[in-house]
Amino acid sequence: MMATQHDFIGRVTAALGNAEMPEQRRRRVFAARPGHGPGEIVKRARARTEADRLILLQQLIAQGKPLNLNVIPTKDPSDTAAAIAALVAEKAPEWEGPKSVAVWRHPLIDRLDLPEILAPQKVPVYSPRQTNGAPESTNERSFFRSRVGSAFIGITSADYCLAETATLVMKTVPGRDRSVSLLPSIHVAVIELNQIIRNLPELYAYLKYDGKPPDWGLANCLTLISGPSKTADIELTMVHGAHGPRELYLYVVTPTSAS
Amino acid sequence: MSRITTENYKSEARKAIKDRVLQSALASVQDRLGKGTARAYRELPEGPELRRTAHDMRMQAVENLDILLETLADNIGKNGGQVIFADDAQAAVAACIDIARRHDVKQVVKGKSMVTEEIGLNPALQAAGIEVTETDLGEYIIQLAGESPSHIIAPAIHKTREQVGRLFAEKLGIAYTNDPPTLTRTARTALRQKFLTADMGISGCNLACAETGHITTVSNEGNIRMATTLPRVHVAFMGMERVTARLEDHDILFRLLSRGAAAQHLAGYISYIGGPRQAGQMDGPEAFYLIIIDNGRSKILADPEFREILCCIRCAACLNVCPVYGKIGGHAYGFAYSGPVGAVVTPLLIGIERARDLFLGETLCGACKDACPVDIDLPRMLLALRARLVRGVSDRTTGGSVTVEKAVYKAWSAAIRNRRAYAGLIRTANMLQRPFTGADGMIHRLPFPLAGWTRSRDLKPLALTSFMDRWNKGLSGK
Repeated sequence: MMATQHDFIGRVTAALGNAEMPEQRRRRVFAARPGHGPGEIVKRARARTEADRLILLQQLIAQGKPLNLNVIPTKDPSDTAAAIAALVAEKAPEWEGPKSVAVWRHPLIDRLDLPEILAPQKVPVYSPRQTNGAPESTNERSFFRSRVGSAFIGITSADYCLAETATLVMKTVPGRDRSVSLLPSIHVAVIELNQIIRNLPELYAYLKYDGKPPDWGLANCLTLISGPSKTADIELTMVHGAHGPRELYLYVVTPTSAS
Repeated sequence: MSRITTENYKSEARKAIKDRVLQSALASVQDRLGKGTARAYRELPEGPELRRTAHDMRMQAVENLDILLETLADNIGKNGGQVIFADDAQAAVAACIDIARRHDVKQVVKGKSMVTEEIGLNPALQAAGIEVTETDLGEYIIQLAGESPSHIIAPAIHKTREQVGRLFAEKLGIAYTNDPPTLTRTARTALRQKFLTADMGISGCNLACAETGHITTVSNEGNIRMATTLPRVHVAFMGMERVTARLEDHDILFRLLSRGAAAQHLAGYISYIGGPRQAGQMDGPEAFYLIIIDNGRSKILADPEFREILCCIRCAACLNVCPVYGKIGGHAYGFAYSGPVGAVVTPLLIGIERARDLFLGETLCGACKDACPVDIDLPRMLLALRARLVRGVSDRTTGGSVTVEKAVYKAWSAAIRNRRAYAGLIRTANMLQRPFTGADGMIHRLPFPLAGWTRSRDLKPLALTSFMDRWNKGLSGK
């Protein structure tokens, strides 16, 4: 039968048979793991020099290879935009219809000037409208859905990128919708060198202790992406592009140009 | 409740052993995933000992489950999600159908979730007139074939590419092919339409995080991201033990889960979901529900001998090394959970007597414990279930095999404490065994009442000269 939260949890407490005061237990179980407390990890990560970051970039490139994640360092936004334009020209759409691209509304992506860069190819660039917190209508959402659904390339940035596991980390916030990295056949992500961090402990420390609301925390949805979509469900044969993107390109804007 | 066929364990096992296709599929899965996982543990920077740390972490969570569930529910509520607590399978299924009715749901897309297999969600939704489509490629294949999963993470592993090709040709109307990329693309195309038109997405939950108020979903295909991003409503199901206190616990647990499940450093997609779409967001569901399920788990929690099984994170690493699973496959286990974890958890959920063959059939070799990412002592619990079975039977009956067994052990105990009686017993046995010893020096068949010993294995005969006799001769020859 359907239970109330009170009855359900009461039964769990009874099953545990723990005589200790709940408050004491609460303090103990939620205390940060040793070495993972406020400040500790973030402080170390912030102290990283550019040379340290370039080492992380090399690690990211190496870790990305077996995952079919193409990591490409670029000099600056215009260099990146040129690389993306070449990709748009080279790749054919997976589904029927003309080429189009969907992008995030994001400072780094804005700097790429993609509508202008892709104009000679006559490839339209769709980005979600700024709503300024006003509730978006159902019509607007279905328009968004059809645009992102028909785009063959989706272009996003990311909040962080983990070098050890070649993982992109994206918070869902207005303008940075999650279907842009999901529905198009090819996912292109653009980040800056200083967004690369080492690993999951660093990520979790940043999410828990860095910044203030609304930047703080995980948002209502946080996505970790390590490589393109894949499956091995038929005789353990690896196939890319099960449901999500078949290909994933990550451009890292690296001012000193390690490329 | 889903269909339970644990009673057919022996006949299903016999069938599986004769199935050549299945035997080669199982050998391949164990050879690749089993060995890959062992290698992945060795390559951990912290070493395989990290599994011990993870065990302690999971155990601490289980032992404070009341606090974690309360915190999780409060935080999800704050984010605009709704949490429903379900005592049993019927309540969980009813809650889901109720949500579907309220949101006028006609079509559901599902991510792979073993707990929904446990509660028999799909048939119930279909009976309520709702179309349910499994979207994990393996689950989609077996749904089309009308079968049940045979492996926790590779549900269609018992099917060859030729079988999948014929199935797709018949059900999806494509030209026959046995090429996995073409078959995958066929499913991608068919399911894309389902994702875009479905009203509701259903997922499981790998590990919730209490302090932030998020569930997590893990996949490599991206199907769970689709199912939780595109439909209007998202309903997540979670066995009540699948929660951690702190966000940083997920570092160790996800790295180990990914290694245990598929020998990966980290699964392709991990999503944290804490509530519905917020203002200004163009995608994501309007409503988010989390259904937290007991269905027998609080009884396991109350039992100190078996509480440890609630640490399990359902990665299937134990299936990939188990010599029994490797021969009989997943269907013989007769319930959502197969392999060593199924042999422990199924009896605890549905009844020790009813699922007795599952834990009696395992070998106690210990491979599952070494493969477990959270170092659960499965062999200990398999043995404890056997003890529980025997104790339970003797409590209820006064005669039968237990009385005979006790008498035999009593006689044996007296004999081995008396040197001369023991020597006499061995000499007699030595004489009696001769007619049963084959040309290859092994005993293949013994008569009643010992026939059971040789039904499925050969015995080595007793040595002609006992160790004591040889020892004594050795001493005198000095």
